[in-house]
Amino acid sequence: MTTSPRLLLCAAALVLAAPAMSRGQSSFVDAELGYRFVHVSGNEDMYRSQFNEREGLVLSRFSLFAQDPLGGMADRIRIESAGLGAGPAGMLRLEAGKGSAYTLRVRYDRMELFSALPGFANPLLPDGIVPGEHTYDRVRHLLDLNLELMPGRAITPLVGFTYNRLSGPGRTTYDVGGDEFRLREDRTDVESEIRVGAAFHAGAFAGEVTQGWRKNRESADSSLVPGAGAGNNPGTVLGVPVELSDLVRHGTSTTNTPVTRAFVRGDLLPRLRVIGAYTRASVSGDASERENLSGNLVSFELSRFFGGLAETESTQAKNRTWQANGRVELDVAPGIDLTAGYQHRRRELDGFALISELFLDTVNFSGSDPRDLARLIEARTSIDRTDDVFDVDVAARPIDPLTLKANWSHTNEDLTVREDPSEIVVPGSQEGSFSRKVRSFGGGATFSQAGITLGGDVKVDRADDAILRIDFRDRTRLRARAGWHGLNWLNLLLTAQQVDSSNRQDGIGYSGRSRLFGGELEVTPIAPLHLRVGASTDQADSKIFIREPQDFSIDRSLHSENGKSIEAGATLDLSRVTFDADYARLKNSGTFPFTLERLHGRFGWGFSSSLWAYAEWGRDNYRESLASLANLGNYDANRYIFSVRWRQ
Amino acid sequence: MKKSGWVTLAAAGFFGAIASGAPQGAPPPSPPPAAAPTAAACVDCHEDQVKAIGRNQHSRLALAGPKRPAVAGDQICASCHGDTAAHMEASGSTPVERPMAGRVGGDFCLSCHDASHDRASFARSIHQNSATVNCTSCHSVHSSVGAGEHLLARPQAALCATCHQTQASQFRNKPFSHRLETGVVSCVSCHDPHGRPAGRGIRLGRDGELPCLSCHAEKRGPFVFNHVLRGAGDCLSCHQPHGSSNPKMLTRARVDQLCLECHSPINGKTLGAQPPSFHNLLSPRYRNCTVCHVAVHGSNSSPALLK
Repeated sequence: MTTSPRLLLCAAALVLAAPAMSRGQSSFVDAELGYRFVHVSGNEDMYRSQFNEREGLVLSRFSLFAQDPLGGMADRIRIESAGLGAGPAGMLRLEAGKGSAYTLRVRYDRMELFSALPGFANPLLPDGIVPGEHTYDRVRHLLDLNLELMPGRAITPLVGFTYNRLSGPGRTTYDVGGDEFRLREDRTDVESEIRVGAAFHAGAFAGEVTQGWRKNRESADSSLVPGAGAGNNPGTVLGVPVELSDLVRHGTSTTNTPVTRAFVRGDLLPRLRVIGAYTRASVSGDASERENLSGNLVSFELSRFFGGLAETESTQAKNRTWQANGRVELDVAPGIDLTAGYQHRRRELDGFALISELFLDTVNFSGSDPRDLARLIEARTSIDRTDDVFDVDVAARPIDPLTLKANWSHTNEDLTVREDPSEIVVPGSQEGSFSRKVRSFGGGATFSQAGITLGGDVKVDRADDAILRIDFRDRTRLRARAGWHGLNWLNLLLTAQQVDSSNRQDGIGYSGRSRLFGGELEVTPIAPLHLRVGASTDQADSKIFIREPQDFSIDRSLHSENGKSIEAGATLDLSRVTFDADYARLKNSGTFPFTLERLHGRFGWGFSSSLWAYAEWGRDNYRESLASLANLGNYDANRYIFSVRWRQ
Repeated sequence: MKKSGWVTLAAAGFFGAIASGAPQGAPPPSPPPAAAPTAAACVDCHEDQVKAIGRNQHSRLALAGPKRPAVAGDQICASCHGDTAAHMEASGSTPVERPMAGRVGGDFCLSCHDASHDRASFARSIHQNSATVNCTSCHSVHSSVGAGEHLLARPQAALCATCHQTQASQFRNKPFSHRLETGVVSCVSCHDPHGRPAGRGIRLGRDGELPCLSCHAEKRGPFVFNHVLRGAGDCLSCHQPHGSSNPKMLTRARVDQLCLECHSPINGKTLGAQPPSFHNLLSPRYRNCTVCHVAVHGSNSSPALLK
């Protein structure tokens, strides 16, 4: 577990720059830097898949706000940062500007993505081989920059840049020649986008037009994991052991996407506003791949054994999407608002692939007729989808403690899927034209007076058909909320939500229910002491008919969750001493039972009003109860952080 | 009168009533009264607020905006609260002209804050100003030093959790979730608190896509051989975005169960093909579909999504 030196450099630069920038007329600096120690017993891979807080230096927080900080270059600057250093995620936000000259917003995020699960999609689990075949240890960097020139003027030029890079090693699986083999896969995906445009306001009209150019480049290299040549299948195929001795694959893809966005708002009459928006993106992508492998393999499509495969692929995909929407906002009477809107969305996708395969050293199942065989696959696919949505909202707020809302919407979905014959293994249900209409009605009321808040709403959706089997035909959502904020020392909140979905069509028989109930009580008995306790339940039950592939028998897919969580915490905030403690426990029963306990404590000591020292402890204890997983994912992770905080 | 005549008359009356009515939202801010007490006077009783507002974005009221004149520095309190003379004469026992609380206070905020694209629907948003929730429920007008951008009254995740406690609990207590405590992903990464109710407050990407693809760009494609995305379903067909008890934030604990719920065309009228019979689910080798169908989000090179 190491800490990125570049991130530490960045953190140090922030801390060192703070005094210089904070010399302005009005400034605020808050920085906390510490070192985290980590001790994990049990399955560290599972801990990293879930939390991934690593050992090392971490800039827990950094906030800076200064006016006139840079000698006239900016009249204000705000920097917010958290989590830079020993991960698992860190961010930096910067906003700077000068009067009506410019506003600059920069956002940087760094995410460490780790997944290595013992039981997930792991056919080798019965043999005690963990983690599963699909693992990765990758890092994503996200940069987003937006510059607004002459803010507040009639025309405001806009410039933007976005960069998203995902890279790192991982493991995947390849199904070839009658078995599945574990591969190492190193990939780098880079997406960048440049945008220019302008915002405007002239008289009753205001809006924004931007044009962006997005480019995406992906590169992946795969090779056989050492020792994985025997594959997942311990047996033989037609008495012959299937083995892969070598595999090398290299693939690249590039997409270019011009994106156009436009938005206009017009206050046509004093109580009437009209808003329109248009978005268009046209993606054009090219991909190519080369693969060479050798071994002792079998193909049932060719009815032959083969000793090697050389494959090349060249593909093009185009995706055009556009959507336009308009809405009217009308003040019918004081406190009564009406909004009506219409949206049209269209997506068209066309794909073309040319796949060339050369099977080397093939023999038939009797071991005779040796020859090399070439196969050429040309595939064309397309998807067309159109959505039309009409909606109307009415809100009535004439009597202040009471607000009433009602809404109606109608959605038409049309989908046409054309698959290539090469994709169709079992004919049926893989292409065709589908249509679905969904009508929705809803209403709700909230009341708030004398610290008491009551609210509730209902939403009913009715569909005439399903496109996917898990689409509902009937869905009802009920929500209720009650709160009491009284005497400046008590805050109580109770919430409840229930969603029922179903599709009773023959052969589907889908029904699902999810329920969320929660309650939270916060009490401040004396000024420096704050206590809180909460409890919630999270229940989900669903059932649907499925057809087992091996014998085509009809069965029910049942899934249930029953999570019960309790949380409690206390905060003591004295002039030179702070103490904060939290405990949370989630016990989940049902299809995938487990218990997760989380403990956190933080003690602070102030040497002065500006300089504080903290000691922090966090513990996560995860225990699975599914017999088939044999407790392989269990872990007990303790983190200790010692940090120094400076505020001024 | 012919039917069309009644329609014309009704329409004329309707739009006439609209045109003659009060402007949409709160009236535009007027310059403070000439005799309004200055911030220097307010500071006697409200020292913390006066000092704090000088350090946050509202100190920029001294600059002219697109819809309002510049406010003199010492008139900054009166620019929102109106005439405070009576309030001061009564030593604070009577309210200021405009207390800036509740729905009315929130609607007054909109007299300036309706100018940008993001806030275009604020007046009709999912959190439309009401007595229960309004601008000041989330934004601390006077001070948010240390709480981050947009003058939030509390750190963003804690702020949303004030009302949406069960969703907050899913983020905190589910083993597989987007970890909000890191600050990288937050509620507003995916939800626009000022978004339209019809769009469920979802913050769409720049080209109208689900917000998931803003980070997970490699899943965007387009792919020659598509799976769910861009077809019938979307990310939420298989994943729970807030937090899940199941690995990969899936909606089901077992992969084969998740896949077969669509891929069982028993009545033949839905999209989703039947796996061939050699997929013997009694064998661990076939029980986890993604062992072989690794390119489950889409592929350019394998019709069966094998790579």
